[in-house]
Amino acid sequence: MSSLHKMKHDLSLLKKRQIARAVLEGLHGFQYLWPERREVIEALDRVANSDEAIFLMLRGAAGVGISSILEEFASKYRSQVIFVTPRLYSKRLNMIGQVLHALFPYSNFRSHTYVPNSLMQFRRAARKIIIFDDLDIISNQNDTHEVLFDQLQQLARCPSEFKIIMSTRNKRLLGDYCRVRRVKSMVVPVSGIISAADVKDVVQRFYDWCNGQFDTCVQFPCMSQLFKREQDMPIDRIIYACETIYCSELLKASSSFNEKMSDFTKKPTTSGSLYHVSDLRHAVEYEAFG
Amino acid sequence: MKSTKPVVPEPLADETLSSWMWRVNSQIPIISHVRFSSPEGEIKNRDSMELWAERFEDRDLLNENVYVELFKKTFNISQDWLSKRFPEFSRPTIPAQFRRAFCSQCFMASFEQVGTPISKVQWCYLTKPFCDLHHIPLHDSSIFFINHDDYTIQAFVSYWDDPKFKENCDAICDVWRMRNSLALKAQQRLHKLTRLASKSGQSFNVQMFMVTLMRAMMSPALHHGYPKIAFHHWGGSDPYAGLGVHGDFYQEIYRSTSLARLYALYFSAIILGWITSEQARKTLHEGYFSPWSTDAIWLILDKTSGVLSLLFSELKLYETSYLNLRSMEIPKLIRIRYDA
Repeated sequence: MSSLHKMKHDLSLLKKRQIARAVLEGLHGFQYLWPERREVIEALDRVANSDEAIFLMLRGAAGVGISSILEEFASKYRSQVIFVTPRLYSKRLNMIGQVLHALFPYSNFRSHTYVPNSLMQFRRAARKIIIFDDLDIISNQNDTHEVLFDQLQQLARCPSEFKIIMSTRNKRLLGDYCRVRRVKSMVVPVSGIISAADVKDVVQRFYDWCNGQFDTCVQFPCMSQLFKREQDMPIDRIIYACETIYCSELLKASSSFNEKMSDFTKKPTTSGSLYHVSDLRHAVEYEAFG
Repeated sequence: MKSTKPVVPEPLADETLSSWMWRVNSQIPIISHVRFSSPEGEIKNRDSMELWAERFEDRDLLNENVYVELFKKTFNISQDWLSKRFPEFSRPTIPAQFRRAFCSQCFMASFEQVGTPISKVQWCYLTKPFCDLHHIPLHDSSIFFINHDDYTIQAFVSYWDDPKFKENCDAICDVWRMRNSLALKAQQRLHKLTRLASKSGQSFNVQMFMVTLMRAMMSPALHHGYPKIAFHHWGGSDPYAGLGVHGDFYQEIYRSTSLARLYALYFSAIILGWITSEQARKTLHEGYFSPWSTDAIWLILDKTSGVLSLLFSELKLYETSYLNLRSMEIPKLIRIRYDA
């Protein structure tokens, strides 16, 4: 049998494409709690449960899962969190302005150089944690490098006393951060690397999760070379490949599509496989969205 | 596969249509906020904010809000569902172009509940200068409802951030504590009467009887009895203009501040006998120039030409068994002269 998958139900192509679109858009909801992720979440929980104003910086390369950790944290403490993400504004906004905008994204406010009373009221109304995901992009887009940590310290110090969680991969920003003296601060590195021994477990769990979520019975193809080489891998690459291969197995559509599948199975190296995963992704996306 | 169809959030108790729509659109954007805010989008007949201007479209009314149809289609909601949650106004309202009243405590409570301050229907009513829930005087925002689709957010932020604004609001609650308490009782009594009258279909007349009294109490002859701050931030582009007897009588109430309406209600309650002269006299330390007896108020009005004849002719239109001229304590000479 060339394909090892067998659908529980005879799903229509329309339904399969619907599922594939959800998976490719990352709406599957799969989360893998590898040991490092668990430690980071515990550190964030400690910040949420402490009473003192604090800076916590998550440091790591792109794709190591920081954003997804922060999103999970924000959803867990929804009523306490103000989540600031990079956004393009029609005018430059300082950090305080961006916090107001994160609360009310469709409203315009005048610029503040100090923490306004309204923001302090939100703090009193239990919104005590501000998250800045991708601090370097946020500050770059608004040209606020010079005053970045001054303003963050204003937010953290009396009387506003927000707890501030941020993330960056920018070394210069990290250097500036380390010079912050007036607020208790800490750095949590996130590597996002899954050990070779755990890669198969992640893949299996992803498939189990999606099969349960979408009522399918797709199995991971044994021909995949990607996960055969025993080496550590970043979590985002594993998930990217899992999403792609799950959808390709689910759709199994046109001949050109199948050709790409067969190419993909022949490549022996990880980099080659990754290249072809990306190639396959395009084909799958074409099938799902086209 | 789980359904991804958006579920529309329920409006909070007494929330206005426009407040709910803004809140929903912020969570599940279906209308570009740029378009949502554009004058040509929502307000068909935009006009200058003059007292004599044409009527503005009211986006708190189902049949005047142009985005209702889009919401119905997007969220698959019926007209019945909407009508049940957003019935027509049941009392005389402040026109949309002058609407700006809010309760700071309701703002905070709704922010804590749903993450956005909301607007309430009761703040639109001319005869309700107090918050029904928190029993504090409503404040007037420096932000006008008609100018901002995110009115509640702008009003909430300006309440906290405009210099001295919150202090003034606090002063209104603290300085005139006794009068506030008496006026609040009058508001509650009127509310009960209106509910009673609604059983016989006379609630509109009861409300209009009170609005008419309040109109007379707002005439310039009685302005010395009001705190000065009641005339700050008078609605529209001009301050209190003195439009002549008819203009003052019929129009000024619409753009008046909540505090002016509170005082108009307070004086109306005195001449209705709901607040006794003794009770009113005890509040003199909160404003020495305010008239405190029924006779004094009638005499002042009698000296202003035209007001009493207007007042009585209007009151006669709205008489009911609940509120009428017969049961009011009116000096004999005035009663004879105006056939009241």
